Amino acid sequence: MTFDKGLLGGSTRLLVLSLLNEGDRYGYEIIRTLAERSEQAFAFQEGTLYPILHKMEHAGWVRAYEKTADGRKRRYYAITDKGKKQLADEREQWQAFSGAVTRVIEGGAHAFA
Amino acid sequence: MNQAEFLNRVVKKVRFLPDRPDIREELTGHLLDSKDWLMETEGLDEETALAQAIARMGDPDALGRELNHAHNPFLGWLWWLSQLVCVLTCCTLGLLLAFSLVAGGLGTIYNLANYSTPGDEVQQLMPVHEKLTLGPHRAEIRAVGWTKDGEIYLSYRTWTLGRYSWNLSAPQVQFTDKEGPHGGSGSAASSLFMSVGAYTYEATDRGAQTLIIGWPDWNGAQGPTTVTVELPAWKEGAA
Repeated sequence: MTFDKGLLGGSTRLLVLSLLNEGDRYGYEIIRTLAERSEQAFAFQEGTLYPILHKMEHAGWVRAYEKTADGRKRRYYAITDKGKKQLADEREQWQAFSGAVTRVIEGGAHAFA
Repeated sequence: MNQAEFLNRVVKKVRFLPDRPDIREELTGHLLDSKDWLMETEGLDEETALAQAIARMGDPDALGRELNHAHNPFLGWLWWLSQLVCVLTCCTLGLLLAFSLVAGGLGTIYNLANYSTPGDEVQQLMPVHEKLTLGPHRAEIRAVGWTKDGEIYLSYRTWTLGRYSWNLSAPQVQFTDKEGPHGGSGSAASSLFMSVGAYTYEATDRGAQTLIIGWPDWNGAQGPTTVTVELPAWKEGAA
């Protein structure tokens, strides 16, 4: 199922920060993990990940460094303390948002729950 | 669109030039990883895999515009400029320091050489070359003589072994009149641990002198602290 771009837009940061919270990753790794975990639901234009990563770096939520593995030099990203706070905020926001959406669309059923 | 074309189109939109090579490198790495994965999992050949990897990246112009937003030109240039200023300042300071060290070093060498060579005003120069040991300090009374004005000329060297914060002062001279050791005037060139000096001492008369030269007040030395020299009388017009 392909999502309306608008839906994914705001949440991408949450997804990326969440993955980086689990461990340092490089760009392509993030793309692959997102695709696999979401069972291909999140398989958007891969390039768009980089403006997001670079903006997060600029904001101080992630820190980048280079590491060589299998003879290839890659740019890894690590979440910072500031980034962890941002992640917590966005997770809270997401839960509030999705909770509100659910309550509205299932409003009738829950009225007597 | 091939890899080079794709990267060029993306990077062209990034106005902050210093970040362009890094962006190129990161995106290239992504394309190669993507190509490898496609070859492995979908069994594509290299050419096709690369083409698909490029396609999966999305529109290069849009990507370039978004990256440009992330690489803020104003702040970016400001940061780059501040780094440049930093480097230039360090280089300038470094050069100034190097220059002053070299100039200082050369100056000291010049002085040391100068003060060890007596000038025209010295006559009847008599080499002595006697050494004294005063604790960690060493002294050499190099030569004595007369100046044309009838003062006693003394050339000496002192140095200190090990790390001491001070060097020996200029030696004192006691004349035949035994009126007590006299201090003299003159100059010495000092480097880190060595001093080379040329001093003159006002003599009470211009006759032959028995000079006792050194540091008579020094305590605790294991050997003599002075050197005794017989200086012949001052002669008018001597060399």
